[in-house]
Amino acid sequence: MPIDITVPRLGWSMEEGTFAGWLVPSGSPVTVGQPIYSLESDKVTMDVEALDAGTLHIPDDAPVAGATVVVGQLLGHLLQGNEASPRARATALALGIDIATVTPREGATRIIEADVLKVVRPAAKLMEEAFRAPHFYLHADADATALASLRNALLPLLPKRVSYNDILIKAVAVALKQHPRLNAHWVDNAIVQRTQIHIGLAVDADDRLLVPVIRNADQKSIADIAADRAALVERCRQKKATREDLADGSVTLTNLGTFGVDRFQAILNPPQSAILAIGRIAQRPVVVDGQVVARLTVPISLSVDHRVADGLAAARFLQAIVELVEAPLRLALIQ
Amino acid sequence: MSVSLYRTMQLIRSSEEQLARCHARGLVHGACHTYVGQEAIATGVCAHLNGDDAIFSTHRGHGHALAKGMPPGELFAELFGRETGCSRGRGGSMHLFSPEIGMMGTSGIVGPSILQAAGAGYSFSLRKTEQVAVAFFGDGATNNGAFHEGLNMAAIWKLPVLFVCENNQFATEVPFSDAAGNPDVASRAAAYGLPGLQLDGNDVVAISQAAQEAVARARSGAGPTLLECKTYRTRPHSEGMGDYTYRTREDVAAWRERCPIKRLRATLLAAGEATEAELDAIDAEIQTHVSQVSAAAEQAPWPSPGAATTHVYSPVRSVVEPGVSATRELSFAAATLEALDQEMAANPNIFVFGEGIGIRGGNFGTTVGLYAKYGAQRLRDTPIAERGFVGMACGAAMTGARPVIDFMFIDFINDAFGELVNQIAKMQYMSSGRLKMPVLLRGCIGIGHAAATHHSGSYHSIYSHIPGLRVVIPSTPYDAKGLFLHALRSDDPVLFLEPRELMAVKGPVPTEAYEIEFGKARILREGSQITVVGIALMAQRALAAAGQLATEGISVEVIDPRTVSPLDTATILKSVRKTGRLLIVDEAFAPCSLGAEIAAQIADQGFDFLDAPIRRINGAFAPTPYSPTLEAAVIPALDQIVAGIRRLAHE
Repeated sequence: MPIDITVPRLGWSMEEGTFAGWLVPSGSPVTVGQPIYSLESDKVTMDVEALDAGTLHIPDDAPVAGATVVVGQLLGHLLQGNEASPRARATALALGIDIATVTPREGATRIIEADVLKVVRPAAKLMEEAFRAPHFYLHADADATALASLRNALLPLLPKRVSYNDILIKAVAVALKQHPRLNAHWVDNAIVQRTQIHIGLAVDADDRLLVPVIRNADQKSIADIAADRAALVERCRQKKATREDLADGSVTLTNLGTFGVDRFQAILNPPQSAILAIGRIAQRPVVVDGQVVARLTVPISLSVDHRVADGLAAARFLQAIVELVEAPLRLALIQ
Repeated sequence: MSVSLYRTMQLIRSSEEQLARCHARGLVHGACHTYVGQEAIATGVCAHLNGDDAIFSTHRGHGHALAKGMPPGELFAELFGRETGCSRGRGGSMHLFSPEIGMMGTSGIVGPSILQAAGAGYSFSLRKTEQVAVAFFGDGATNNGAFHEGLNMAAIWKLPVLFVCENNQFATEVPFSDAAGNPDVASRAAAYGLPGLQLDGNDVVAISQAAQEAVARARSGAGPTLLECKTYRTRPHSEGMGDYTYRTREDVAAWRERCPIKRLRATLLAAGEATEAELDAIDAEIQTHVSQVSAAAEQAPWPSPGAATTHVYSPVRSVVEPGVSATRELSFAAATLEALDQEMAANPNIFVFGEGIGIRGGNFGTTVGLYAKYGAQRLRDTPIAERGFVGMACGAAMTGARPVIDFMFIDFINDAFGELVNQIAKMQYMSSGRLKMPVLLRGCIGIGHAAATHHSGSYHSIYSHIPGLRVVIPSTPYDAKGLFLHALRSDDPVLFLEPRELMAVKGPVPTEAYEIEFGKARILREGSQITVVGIALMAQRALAAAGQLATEGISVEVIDPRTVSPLDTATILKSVRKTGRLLIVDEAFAPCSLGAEIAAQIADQGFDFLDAPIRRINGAFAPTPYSPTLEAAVIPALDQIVAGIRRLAHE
């Protein structure tokens, strides 16, 4: 059951006071002793501390700042951890969502399945949305010789085992910083330009596709990215990923190379406008100086929402990625 | 002949004394009611029965079983709780079954043997088999309604039955003289129009002669006879119980002197039919035999614990239902009438008991036209004696007939609660599946038309609590016909409950005979947001509510379980998996109800499917009042259901 937050009596004689506003937003986790709202009596103004822990829920009809309130009046609720329906819990578990990050819809105190689905829209709906986006696709094969050398050089140096994906995430993040047109979402029929660079990585967690996000990947070292990535993948597989872990990616990287896929095209992860599909890193015949030789290459496909970027912008973005992959030492140097 | 009587009595005595020893040794786990002192009665009566004649006995039934031919080893093994016992270890002293030899069971309840024997007599008469049924009962049973109802009906229809009262002068520990306004049991026969004879219960020759005449009279179609055999048990009511708080040592000693076996021995010697040496040899031979079977029973295997719940029901017979594609419309009542007619034509063992179901065709037209086709014996108007004819139906079903009981209003069934719950429901189990129990009990249920409290009950929750019973409640004519026919062909006892407010409602019904299997719910309307399970009239009311709510954009799935025992929780669970919400609507009372059962099962198996608490709408927890304003206040109304669904859908 939710715990009610009611107006306390400040001093001996207070019968009413003025509500001065919330100190934490609705949906926030609250700990015991944390100040959660301000209340004025005729003598004092006081930040009132929570007597219980829980998730703050401010109902629609709660008093607004400046309103007169009487002692005992209901201000809001502290939802307890068990205020989700059994179905909501089961769904959250299946989707790898921490139920503590889900808030009930307006006017309700119990979290139901629909509230969970709002956090992570179901795959089917997402795919429909993605399919509606006008895609176009660009392909390039990057020489991966230097990439492999860099990874081999980093492996003994770093505490977390560095993967090709960690270096590729860094490459995409740096390229995105250089080509911010692609760091935009298509939301409600409009382009929403973004400033931060968070790179999503498609992860197979127990037969469920999740896309945890490396936040501010452009500002992180490959070592940090490797550490973040390892922790995120673990949480996804343990079904303990939080909303934060899965939300707000700029673009997504999906790699089926380890499954023997040479090359593929991915559909977008809405509202993102770009996704990179990485194929198998392998020796392939290439022509160098008029001779066919075997070289290690990595096929990269870029899928783009045409409403957000045109072919030229996308080509430049892909070109920047290829350059960074072929000369990756720079990635190791950029913090 | 007389030596053979001696042998049987001595076998009974010897077995009982050995069982008393075994009880003292702890080999008998429960009660042990011996027949010592009364041996002449079972022996004298059973001497005139054929193997396929049927006897129905009491809690003191060892002697009846042995006299009817049960090998003593089966009796010992049963009391020892072994697999080789006559009831496979399910019964013990008070519940002995061996239908193969016409030993149709003993009973721990006083009275049912009278009704079951009368019912067997009805079955024999209907099927013209020339078999005879015998009810053994004590003096205690003669003060019980079963005696009155059973003797009356057997006399009316001249059934081939012997009513054998073993008047041992104590009903447990209560002297008969303190319990009977008229202690002359034989004279009570006059009240029902059948002959009654008082006999010396310790004189096997006299009993044998009287039984011979009574059996002949029964077989000839002249009807039943009451034999009162005055006797005395010379061991306690039950082994291990104190005996001298209600009778004296002197009395018991005096009756021991009047031992029926001693008496026959003297008669045989005096008549020169046997010598001392011959009778001593018989005694020794029986003693040895009994010791041997007792020792063998001690070594017999225990029943497997895995068998503890087998034979509660007959094997399920799967059928394919045709689906509602017919264009012809029939009312609910006409649909069951068509099924009954079709099956009565196909199966001559079916008969109907009820009040006004003969020429009149039933209060609700449930048997209209059948009397003309099938006659009085198959459409039998009965006295208003619910316990009596339900008990008789049990005996009839045990002996090959397929009774249908038409109660009109199901409230009346509660007068027969004991016969239904203690006998009919348990019979297949107690007999380890050797007896079938094809009894169909039908009647209308539900509040409406100011019928008030004795003509409006819904008792499905009570009866679905009982293992061994099937409980069926259709809400459409299509379901009614298919389920009724399945019930008529079932070997289980079935309560067929007919919502009275729906009995005149018409719907499509296929013409041919078809069956609907029990335990298959019907989805009356598909929906996605909330599941509503409705019972009987409430299924149809929930359907109407769902129609209203569709206009508000609330998508309701309505499920009619159709049968509540067995209950199709799988279909409900599947629906709740889709919708996440469950409301159960039933006009019956909420406490300990079907709705509570569904809620518990879904919470148990589908907890993770639920987005909101499981809710129920039930009728008020009160008897049904008469006045229309009061009546409307105790049954869930349409707008109440609409509001309940709406609230839960948004919860």
